Amino acid sequence: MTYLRNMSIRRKVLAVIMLTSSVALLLACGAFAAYDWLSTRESLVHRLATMADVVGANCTAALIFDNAEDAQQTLAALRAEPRIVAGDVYNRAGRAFAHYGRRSPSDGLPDPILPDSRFGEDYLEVWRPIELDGERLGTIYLCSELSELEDRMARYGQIAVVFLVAASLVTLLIGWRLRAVITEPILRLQGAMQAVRDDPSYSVRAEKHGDDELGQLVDGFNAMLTRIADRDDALRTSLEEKEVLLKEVHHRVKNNLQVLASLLDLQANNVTDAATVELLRESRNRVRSMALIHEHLYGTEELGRIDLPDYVRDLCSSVATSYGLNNVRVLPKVDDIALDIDTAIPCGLIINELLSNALKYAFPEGKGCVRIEVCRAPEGELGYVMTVADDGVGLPASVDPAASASLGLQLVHALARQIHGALTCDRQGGTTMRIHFNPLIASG
Amino acid sequence: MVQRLAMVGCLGLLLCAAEPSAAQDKPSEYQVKAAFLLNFARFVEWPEGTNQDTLRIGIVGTDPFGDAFQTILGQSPGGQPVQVMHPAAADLSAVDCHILFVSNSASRELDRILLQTHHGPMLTVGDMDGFARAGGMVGFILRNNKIRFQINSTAATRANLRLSAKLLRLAEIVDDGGDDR
Repeated sequence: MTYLRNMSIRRKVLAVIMLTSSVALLLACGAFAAYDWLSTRESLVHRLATMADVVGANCTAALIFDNAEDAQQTLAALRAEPRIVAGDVYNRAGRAFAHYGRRSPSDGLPDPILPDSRFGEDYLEVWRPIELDGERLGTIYLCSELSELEDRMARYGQIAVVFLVAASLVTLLIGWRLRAVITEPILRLQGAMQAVRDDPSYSVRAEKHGDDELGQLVDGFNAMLTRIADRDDALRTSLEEKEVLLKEVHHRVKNNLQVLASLLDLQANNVTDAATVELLRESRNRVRSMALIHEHLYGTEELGRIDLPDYVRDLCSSVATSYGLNNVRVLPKVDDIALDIDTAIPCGLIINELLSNALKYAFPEGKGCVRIEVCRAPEGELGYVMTVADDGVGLPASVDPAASASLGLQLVHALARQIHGALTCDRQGGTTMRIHFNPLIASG
Repeated sequence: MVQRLAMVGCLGLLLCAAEPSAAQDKPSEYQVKAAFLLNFARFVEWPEGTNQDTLRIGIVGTDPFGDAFQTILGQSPGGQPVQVMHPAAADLSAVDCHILFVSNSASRELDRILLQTHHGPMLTVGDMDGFARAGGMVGFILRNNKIRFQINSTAATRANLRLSAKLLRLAEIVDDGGDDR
């Protein structure tokens, strides 16, 4: 069944044609053979009965005058018909009177003789009365082989086979030609479908060859293609417009944030109190880290996702520049990761805070190295690991990063929670702040 | 025009009488011959115009049948009437029957008897050797202890009688050596 289902439509059509015609031919041949078998049997009975009547009529005098030799001679004439294997004449009392042939009916003369003919496995038996002027003189029995019927059936079988083969060949030839009427449009439609699949522009159209169901199918297919192409165009246009708009929005946000940062800068230049200057600079850095995000957003092909390595590099150089520590090296090392804006902004702010802390407190002598790393979590764990490590003086023992009163560390905690991460601190050989975060939980 | 004797019932039983059966003894020679005699009529065509309402059988000479005909006729009530006559051998010129049986006792007068049968279509049947060869039509003979008959078809043709081929096939065909009329 699966084989039939997966058969190509050309073969299927041909198979249906061949099967239908073969069944019809077989039925016709069978009907003819059955009719011929019946009529041949009938005519065999009729012929044998006629022969029995003729031979019986020639035996009337022999029966009347009790001359078995004559009856025997009359029966012997049956030799001319080799299919008759036995013949017997019985007298009025049912006693055997004369006999001819190789076999005799084993059960003698049946009584009463009904029916007057009987088909055996391979022979036909006939009993006929011998009468003169309506008077029953005796019975004649003839037994004939059925080789004629068998020969005839065998010949019929041969003719049927030849006929079937010839008819099948003719059907095959005609079917081969005619199936194209059905299969060609389907195959052409299939070809069109393949072309559409390979060519995303939806410019291909199927060719129509008539107004039948397949023609309507082709019409429907083409109409569908037109609609898909139209919708595709509209969507593409709309998307392009939206992208332009989004870039514009990011651009403006970035500009506004840039303006804000500049304002904070200006403000800082007009303040003499060092602590206030410091506060304004921290705020400006926070604003800049966000402005950078928007700058990167509209700069990338894929709106909505931030290419982390570029962003972290720009962010680090921006923060480092603002502290002006020429002998402290800031080394960002980021895997090829892209984050959406909701994750990227907290990440950027955390890096900004931790890097700022390191630059502010870790290097009283103005010399050292800060490593910023963002990489994928080790095998078997989800999410990313963000590390900010310095080889500076280290956190004073009095400072607990988990419960610090400083705005920066509080911000880091809050932001880490936002991206489902937790801050750990390692104080050996400087300070190492590490956050293992998993942005997928937020979306899930 | 085929003429047949409608003696179906009667003759059917005749053959029963000739047939050996468990209930009866084997039929005697003359019972068989009587049955044959009546059955010959079924295979003989008399000329047109012959009155055949009753089958008349003439017996010339001593009647050897005894009650054979009586037995047969007694057993066939309502059958074709059979009339048995005993004409005198001396004068047969006026006798009118279908079958004339010449018994063995009249063998010495055979030639004379046969000469007197030419006036009408009579089937002559003889009970002695050489009857057919002598100019009779059907002569009973014994072959292998069975009753058979010789037929002189020339004599029958002379008497305007047509004998069936079926009957002729059962008989030994003899000739009387030419037209002795």
